[in-house]
Amino acid sequence: MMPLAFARPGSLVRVIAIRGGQGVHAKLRSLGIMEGRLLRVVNLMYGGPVIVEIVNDVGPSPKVALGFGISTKIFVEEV
Amino acid sequence: MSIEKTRKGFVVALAGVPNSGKSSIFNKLTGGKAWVGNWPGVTIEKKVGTLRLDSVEVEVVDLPGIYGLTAYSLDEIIARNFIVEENPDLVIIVVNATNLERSLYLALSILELGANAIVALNMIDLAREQGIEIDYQKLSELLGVPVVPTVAVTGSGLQNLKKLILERAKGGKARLNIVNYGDDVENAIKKVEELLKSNVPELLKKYPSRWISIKLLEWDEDVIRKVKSYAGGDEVIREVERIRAELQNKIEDLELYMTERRYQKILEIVRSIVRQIKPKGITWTDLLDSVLTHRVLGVFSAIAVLYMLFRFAFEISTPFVDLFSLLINGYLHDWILGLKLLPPWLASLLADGIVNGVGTVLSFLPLITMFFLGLAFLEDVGYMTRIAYLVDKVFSKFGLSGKTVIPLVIGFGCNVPAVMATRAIEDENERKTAALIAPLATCSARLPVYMVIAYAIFKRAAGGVVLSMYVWSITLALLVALALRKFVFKGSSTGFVMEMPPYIMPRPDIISMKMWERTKKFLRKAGTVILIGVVFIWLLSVTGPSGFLGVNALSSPELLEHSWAGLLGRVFSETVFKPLGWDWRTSVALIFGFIAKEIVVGTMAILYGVGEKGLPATLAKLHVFTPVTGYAFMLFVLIYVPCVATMATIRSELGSRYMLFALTYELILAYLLALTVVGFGHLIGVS
Repeated sequence: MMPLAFARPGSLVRVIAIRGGQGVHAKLRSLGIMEGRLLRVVNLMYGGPVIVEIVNDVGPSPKVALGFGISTKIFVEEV
Repeated sequence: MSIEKTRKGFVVALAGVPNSGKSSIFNKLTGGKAWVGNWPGVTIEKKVGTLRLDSVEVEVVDLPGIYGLTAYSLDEIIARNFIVEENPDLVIIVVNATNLERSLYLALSILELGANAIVALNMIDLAREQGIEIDYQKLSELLGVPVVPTVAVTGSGLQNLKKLILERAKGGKARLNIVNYGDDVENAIKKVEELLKSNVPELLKKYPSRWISIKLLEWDEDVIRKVKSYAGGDEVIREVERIRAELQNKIEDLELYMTERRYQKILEIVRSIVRQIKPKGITWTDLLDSVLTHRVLGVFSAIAVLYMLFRFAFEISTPFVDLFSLLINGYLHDWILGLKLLPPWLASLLADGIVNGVGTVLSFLPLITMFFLGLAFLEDVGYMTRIAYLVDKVFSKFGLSGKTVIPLVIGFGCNVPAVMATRAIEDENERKTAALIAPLATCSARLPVYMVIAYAIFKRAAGGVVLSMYVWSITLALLVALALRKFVFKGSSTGFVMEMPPYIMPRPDIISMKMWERTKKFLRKAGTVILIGVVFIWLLSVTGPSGFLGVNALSSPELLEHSWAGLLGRVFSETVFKPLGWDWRTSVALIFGFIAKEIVVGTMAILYGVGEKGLPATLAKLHVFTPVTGYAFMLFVLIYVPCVATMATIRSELGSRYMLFALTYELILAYLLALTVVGFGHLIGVS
């Protein structure tokens, strides 16, 4: 398990846990990022923001940019 | 035949996630004519338009673009309060067909609220391009509300939407229990509903009981407050706390669990309505992003694109600027002065005051319009979000998120819409910081001042010197932001979260609308304020301690010296500006520049008794500036109050206190920096 901020660009990861306050949780959830979800790390700047694709099995998968602060609160596991 | 009672007008609310095409639908429904105000108590824009259907007037309220209806964001609270408390006849939920899951999350939240709703399934053309087909009839069955497929940009499907609005606004049934939360939670919901019925029956006259119960179980602060405001509410909350504790023996994180149930339902819906007609493959967006969001290539591309934006704006607008100044400041001005019918003072007020004022404002209009056109193009294509991503790392070191880059770039056109654009930043501290540093973005009105001074003093190095002002502008904005975040708006940011929509072909109607909205802000604020300012300057120039000096004062530097304006310039140049080495004429220009930077060059031209074209040569010949005092002057112009209009905008966005704060820090910073440059110049012996 590692923070999303340190994931490998191009890798597919699964969200294991989200730390942080209710506000962070709510914000991420309404975007569809929550425990159990698959994310593809599209692009990442070390110490900076990360772009992830929220993987959908049907239909297109939307992309979201997350700042460094928030992406250190999302714990993921490479699959 | 008796006169039938005229049918009552309907109120329809428009809801949708950001990038769902909600604004296009709003414009298509209302014909683009909207009344723009603020939601009560907050500076979040509220747009209301009207739509005539047969003989019925429908008021369309544009709700903020939101992802859900939680209590964590002001936008979301506004939207849900409007739906529950104002009770619109109908809610149109705009669903983005290319981003179904996210849109449906909002849709379910709205349906759970018990709203009478219909769904506009928008952007179906884009969805098809991306290889999916959506069974909208099935979606309608599953949601229990009518669904109309639309393509707002082309207007397709909008006739059906209008028909449906008329049909359903008269009343429709809402289905409250689309999401089943599982036996445990469903039982708890029933218990809470019973509680509400027996303890706060008054509340249920206004709010649907299932929704209140769900929100209480999710421990929604805003709803808790609402319930507590009723007699008997405290008891309900105590009891809910007990029920929650009981539930939490089985379900650890109740809120997460309930969100998951909603997403499961959504996945179920999506699976049964979406058919992949083309296999997923690499898209244009992926290809472009591999370059445009690359940490090295992306930065170079961004610099190139922004440079093109500026070039585009300047090249296209130059002929128009020349045309306006020829027609208005030239022909019209001279024609009025030549009118024998008018007394000379009136002709001068009209020509030198009003016509010149209008001309000054108009001379900036083409540049600003073209700049905003280019910017709207980049925004609509989806590129600005990529720039926000690229700068986020650097900006975060200064306590800002990447989103701040958008108001700053707008600020290079005009600071007024830039301050307004900071509204898009959710974090309150960050938003205020952004609004206070926006004036440091060197707007297009400051450029002519740099050009004149740079060409007068630095000759061949002028280009580099002007460019250095842009570097100063960005550097100072970031440094001031850092200071503000450290000492004034403390507290960590809620974090940068930004959707990266797929790149799309720009849509002419949206681009022109966006361009016009920002240009209008410039025209309305800047137009009125600058016009009044120019008339005021005229008055200070043709009158003095000895009374009316005659209209010749404007063309005679000797007379001007004895006007109020000249006197003011002398006072300044012999006191505060003395160490900076600026003469009384440039001091007057700076004082007038307080009203707007557009005025600085014109004032100097008048005071030196030459036209604007001949000004650089005159400044050089008279040795008005040394390289050091000239550079200090340019820096001062960059930093000190951009214009009265920007200050008025900060006031309406953040209040008078912050406006005074902005005013003070800008004046002090400008003065200190100019002083430093001059001092440094003396030190190394350049003077």
